[in-house]
Amino acid sequence: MRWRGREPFLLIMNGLLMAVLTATTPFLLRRDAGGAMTLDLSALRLLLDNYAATFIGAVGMTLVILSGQIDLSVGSALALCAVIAAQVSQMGWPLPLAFLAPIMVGTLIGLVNGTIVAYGRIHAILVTLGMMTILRGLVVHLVPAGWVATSDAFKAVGLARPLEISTSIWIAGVFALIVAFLMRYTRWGREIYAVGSNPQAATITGIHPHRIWFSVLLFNGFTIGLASAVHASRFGVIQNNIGQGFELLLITAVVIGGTSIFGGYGSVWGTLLGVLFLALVRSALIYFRIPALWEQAVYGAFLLFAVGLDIARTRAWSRALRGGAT
Amino acid sequence: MRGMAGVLARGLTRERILLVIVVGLLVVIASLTPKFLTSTNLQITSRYLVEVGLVAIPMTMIILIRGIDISVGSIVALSTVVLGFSWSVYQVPMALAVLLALAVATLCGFLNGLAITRLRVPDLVVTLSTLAIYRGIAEGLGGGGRVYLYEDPLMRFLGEGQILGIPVGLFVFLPAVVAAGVMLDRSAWGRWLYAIGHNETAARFAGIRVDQIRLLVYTLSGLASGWSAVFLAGRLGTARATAGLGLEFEVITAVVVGGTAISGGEGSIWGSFLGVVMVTALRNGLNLIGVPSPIQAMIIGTLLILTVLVNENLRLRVRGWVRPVVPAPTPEAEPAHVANPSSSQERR
Repeated sequence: MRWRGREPFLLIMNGLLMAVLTATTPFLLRRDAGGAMTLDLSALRLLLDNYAATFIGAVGMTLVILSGQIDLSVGSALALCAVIAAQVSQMGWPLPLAFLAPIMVGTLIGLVNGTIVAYGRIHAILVTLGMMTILRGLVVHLVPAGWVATSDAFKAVGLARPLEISTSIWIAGVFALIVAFLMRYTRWGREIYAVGSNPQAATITGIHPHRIWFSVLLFNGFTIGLASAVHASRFGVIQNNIGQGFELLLITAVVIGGTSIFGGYGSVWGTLLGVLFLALVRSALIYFRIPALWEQAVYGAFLLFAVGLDIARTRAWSRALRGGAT
Repeated sequence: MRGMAGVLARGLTRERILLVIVVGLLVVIASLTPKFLTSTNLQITSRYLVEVGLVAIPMTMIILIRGIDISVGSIVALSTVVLGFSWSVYQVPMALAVLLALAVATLCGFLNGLAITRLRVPDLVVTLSTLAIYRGIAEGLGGGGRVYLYEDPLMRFLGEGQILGIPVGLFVFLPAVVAAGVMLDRSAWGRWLYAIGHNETAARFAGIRVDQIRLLVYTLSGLASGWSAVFLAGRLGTARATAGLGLEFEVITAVVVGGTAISGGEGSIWGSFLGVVMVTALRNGLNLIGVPSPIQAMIIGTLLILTVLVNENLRLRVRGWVRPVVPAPTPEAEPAHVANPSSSQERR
């Protein structure tokens, strides 16, 4: 983990939020019948469980934003993959297929997005905006009843707790570790940073930006497939409106996590802290009984604030580099 | 072949090609379903057309200067809620409530513009956050409830009224189209928009007040969304926080189908008008033929992606214009002496 950038600040913020929650609500400490305080991690564990899919999705979005692109279709893609997962789980096929199917569908969506953006040379905003509507239409069409349930065997996997930690968290944790490693130590990871920083410069050094954009969007599709498998196996019932606003949540988490919205700067660790921050904020909203209707407004405000902060920082940087001249 | 393409590019402007396509589409729809060309249907469709079209006018200008505004649907929601709840809860007279809604919508657009020009946050990010913020405030204020407006005479007039058999909304929309179209074609201000879209840095050096124009255009977008909200509230007879959901998609599709390049500097209000007609007629036609609404969304989404693919790549071939290596969302172009702050200095 790098100890520069946004991470230390976020660690402190998360710590503060947890401290406030612990002090004012039964979030971590619970007073038992005898009056003694006991540590109760169940609320925190539940929080992490519920946000496992968001953790996974946000890692994929980090790569997309790092490379200088954006993906607005993740919410609809999550919904489609989760619905597919639920339907496949009900078909009585071998259980692994129910996990494989959403991942394959997600990868396929990523393939389409990536091909059109990288080789059709079109703004990712438009492609993914169109894709968002197409996929949502498909979801609503596939699920006329409004919801589908997963099979019990499928759900049992999501609710299992090997070594006291749920499978969702295991998957999210291992996935994040692998991606963080890829980003730091592989050529592909470094090329993503290079392309996001300056595509022209990357081209001159022999990197093909379009290949990177293609691979990143493809990878993001895979990520969403994985996230939806985790989500579906955890929640059991998939409504056809799930994932609405998911793109906002992910982009907010990534940007709060210190990744520059222009690309080229940021880290997977920061993103994980960003997701944790949003999760804690959400718990705080619930504990302090602020109506859930305001939630979106709060996330939006955080996104704007975080980007503003990021831009103020880069301006201060460039001022400093120019020797204080305006 | 090449010469042929050149002749085509000169003789057939994008708008003319589009006009042929739109007329063709209308003929196809009319021949598929006799219900299309009835006066009732045209009345209903044109009301919907006004709601999309009003927002499409400033959206064209925004995309012309390389921006994007995806918060329009949320502005519609917020101003609808303000309209309905100020009328029912605070007993404000309807005329005043309408003005209030328009004012709130304009303020929303102004704040978008302010964040974009002052904080220099990219358009997409600002409007993505305000998409959530405005919708969130609308939901918070509305509290999940709804207000019925159809008993109010003014709302009924805006929603159902007609003058000489023509829906009221068209009397606002059509003059607005003509005014904006002429402005863009003939006035210096209009040409500045194209200049900014082509090369913002050059436009700045030419003395064009880029930030002022950008602020104005986003404010206009808010105002237009307010008008759209008022007509929508009148048509539906209800005010609730879900109003205008997905409007941004419909509007952006119409503008892009209308030939405005997402890379800025190319397009026209006339094209957008045809785009709006095309998208609304398509929706209406699919509705009449009995295509379920989710499939309609998929068809229109596909239309958006295909049009951009064709538009951008046709431009590439026909004009031999080589696009820059970066089609990605480019950071705000700063004046040349300020090196791009986000990309160059921030390397580890």
